[in-house]
Amino acid sequence: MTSPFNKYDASNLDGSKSKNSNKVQKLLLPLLLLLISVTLALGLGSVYIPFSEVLYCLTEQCSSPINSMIVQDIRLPRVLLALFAGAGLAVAGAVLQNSTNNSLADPYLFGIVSGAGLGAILYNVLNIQLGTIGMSLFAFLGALLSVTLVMSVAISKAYKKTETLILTGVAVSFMLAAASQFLLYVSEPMAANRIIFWLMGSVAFANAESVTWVSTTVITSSIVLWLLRDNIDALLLGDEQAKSLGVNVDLVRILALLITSAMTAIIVAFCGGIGFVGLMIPHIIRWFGFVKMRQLLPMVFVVGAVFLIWVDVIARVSIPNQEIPLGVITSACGSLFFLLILKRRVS
Amino acid sequence: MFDKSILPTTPLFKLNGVCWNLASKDILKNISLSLPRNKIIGIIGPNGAGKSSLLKAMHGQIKTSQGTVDFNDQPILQYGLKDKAKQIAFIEQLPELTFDLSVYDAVLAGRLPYQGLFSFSNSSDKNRVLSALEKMELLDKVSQPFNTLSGGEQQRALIARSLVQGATTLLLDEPTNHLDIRHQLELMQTLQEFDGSVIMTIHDLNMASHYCDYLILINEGEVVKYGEPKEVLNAELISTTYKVETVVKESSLGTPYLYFCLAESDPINSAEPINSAEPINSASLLTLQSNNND
Repeated sequence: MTSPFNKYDASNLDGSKSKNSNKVQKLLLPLLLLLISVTLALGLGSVYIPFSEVLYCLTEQCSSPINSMIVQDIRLPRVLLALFAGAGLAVAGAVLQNSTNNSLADPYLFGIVSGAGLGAILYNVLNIQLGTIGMSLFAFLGALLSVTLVMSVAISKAYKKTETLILTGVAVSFMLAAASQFLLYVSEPMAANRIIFWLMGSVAFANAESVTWVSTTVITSSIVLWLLRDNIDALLLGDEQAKSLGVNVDLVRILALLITSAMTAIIVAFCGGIGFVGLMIPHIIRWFGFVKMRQLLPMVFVVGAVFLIWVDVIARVSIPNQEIPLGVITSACGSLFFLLILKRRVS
Repeated sequence: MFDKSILPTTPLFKLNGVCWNLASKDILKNISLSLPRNKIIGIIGPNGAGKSSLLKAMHGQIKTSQGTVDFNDQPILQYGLKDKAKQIAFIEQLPELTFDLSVYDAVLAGRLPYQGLFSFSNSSDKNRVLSALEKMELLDKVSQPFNTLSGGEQQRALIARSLVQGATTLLLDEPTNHLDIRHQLELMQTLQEFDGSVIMTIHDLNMASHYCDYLILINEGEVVKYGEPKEVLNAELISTTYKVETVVKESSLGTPYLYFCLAESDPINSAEPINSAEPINSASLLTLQSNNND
């Protein structure tokens, strides 16, 4: 007699709507997309470099030293920085959403980006000389300040209400942005100019150091969050149910918030304020039926990376000899997306 | 923490002078009970009597202001979260999930007590989930979002989770709420077949009479009566506690069957009668299916 279980393909049990495919297959298309995006993005910009030439340049067989410099020294760090920043912000969004059981949570709407921005500006304005670590540390402390403020206002059961959490996040965001603007106002004009462009988000200043910092943080944080995945998902059942299943709800949530704050802070320290990636990407991925961290996390990592690589391409090719800050583009898309979500909710 | 040497005669729960107050209102007043294992025990009482609070106190979810709750001869508050979860499954009134978790994932969560902070489910967990879902006749719904199941199916899925959890004690808060009669009966049947102890709050006194081995009648935070349905479902006690007229008859199965109506002297009856029927007397009492919806 055949077991009744034979009727059900075990690989379909993870909640995905796409049947007859396993986890690796599901990731294959986005990974391929990422690979193509990286290669194409290396060729696109004020100087167009054909696809084949990009491949030669990556293998040290470039036809001209100028092309080699453009691909390897200018565009590669930039594309890599966009890749890891996009991946990190999307992962941060997904983790914030699952750990607060709130589909509108996002590092930007949570005030984490403003907090990290304030920390980084404070570091610049005070002219502290501690190197890259100092700037990252200040950004992290700023991010921590905003998370603490948001969570202490929207405490206990209140954050389950989407509106409470979002409104608290927006209020904290405004408060910290006001502090940042004040600091910029009183600081010397040149520094202010530099900081304003950075605040709007950019990967234009990418170099080996920034790529190393951001990639290491994003990869490490994502691995730790991946290991925490079942406990983070337990919070989707609601706090009381999770507790009755033996989950230390407070510890898991604090760990998830700390890790996402640290990751966002490092991204903000090097790339400035890039909003809404964490809101949009996990939402889009969930439409395909990926809800639990097990499938959500790898998918948002790859898709977030692809997204920001292309945003950066648009930023540098849309206006000749000029760059649009990344944050301007992501916020424009993100706010429209936010309105779309609200409209869907209402209807 | 589960002690194999626990005797079958050891009480499952022992409550000793349990008091709890919230915002200076006494919710539970000096409750002392000793509950046997492997039985179905119903907690009954009017709205606001403290039924859910009593259940939560047993589960150690609330810190009582006085008295102790022992589970298997050990204070419930001393149990670690995971140890407790391996033995007791607490099923609240049906949760509405924010995200579309599948039935499989909702049931798989029952393995959480066996996982550490950085560990996750494995293939043997998958088999446990499938066999529990088969037992609860939900195998065909395994990939569906939990939120799309009917109330009865959701309750069965949560019981499947407690099987996966390995719990031998089920605490259920109004499990028959929002279920139609057929689903209520199916659920009670499932609970009867559960291999362990079941304690639940329940509104339907006839359902409680039929399926529960023992009943705890509480009112205003105090135990009015604890015992077998025949002792607890006494016309006078129910009339006083619920402020209704009650007649108790014996059902064909030998369990008490209750009929209710509002008393003639009830203030609500002094208003104009809705129809010109004869004054209600105990012989013509309407059988009222107790309404579960608060």
